[in-house]
Amino acid sequence: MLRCKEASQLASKALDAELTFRERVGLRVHLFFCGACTRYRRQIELLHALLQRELERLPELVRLPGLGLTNEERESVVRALRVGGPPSEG
Amino acid sequence: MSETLPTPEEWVVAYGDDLLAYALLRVGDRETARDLVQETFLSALKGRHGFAGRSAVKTWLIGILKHKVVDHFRRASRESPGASLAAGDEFFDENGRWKDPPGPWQPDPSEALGRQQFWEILHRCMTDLPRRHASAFSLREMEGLATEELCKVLGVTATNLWVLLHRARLALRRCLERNGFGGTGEEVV
Repeated sequence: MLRCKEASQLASKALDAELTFRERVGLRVHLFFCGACTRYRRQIELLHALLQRELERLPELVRLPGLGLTNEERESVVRALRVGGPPSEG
Repeated sequence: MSETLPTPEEWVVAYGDDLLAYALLRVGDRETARDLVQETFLSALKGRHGFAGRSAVKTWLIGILKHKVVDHFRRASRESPGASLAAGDEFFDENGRWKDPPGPWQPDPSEALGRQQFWEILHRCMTDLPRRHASAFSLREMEGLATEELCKVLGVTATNLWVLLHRARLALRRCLERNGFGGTGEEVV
């Protein structure tokens, strides 16, 4: 029987790679008996899903305060481009 | 129909905010994000004649930025000494059981806290992670890199990678719970 230490590692691995048959069975059996690890798995899955969802909403995120360039920052970048880039055409 | 490129200055006005948001979400700290955005524009400027208008300018710029982000994490990960992989047993006792079992979360922390707070808390917690853990987590969860590519970028084996990600998730989860993701009430996760 897996312990929580191993089961939680497998729950995490399942987000990144396919578990072997043995790993999958071992995890499932452990989760059946263990509320803590069941919760852990749900939470890391939730975090994974939240990040996917939030990152897809990038255009809205840009409007959040602090997530756009300040005027100074913009000017600084433009200055760097003028110095570092080819002369502007036309 | 080819898309004519605006001037560099117009690029920054048109796309700077999007690029900054993209970078900031991944690296967390503003100075680094700004540097990456600037480097992206500089690279784009140098390569602008190779840009044949095959895709939208924004997609092209984000593509360049994505490479810069990956490079950043590659460097960050290699510059920081590898924490012993055996460390991190702080979460489990000698019987392999949780020392501090996960507490309940709200079902949708982003909704409950608002999105700005969600990201602030996440970034704060990611800053607490060792750099290699944060790099692995960000590249996996935000850049969506798969195991093989992650191993190349971070210079680790697949097994080491999964341990890194596991440690990152253990620590992050705990930090998030303590800083606003925790919940009470009927609908908890």
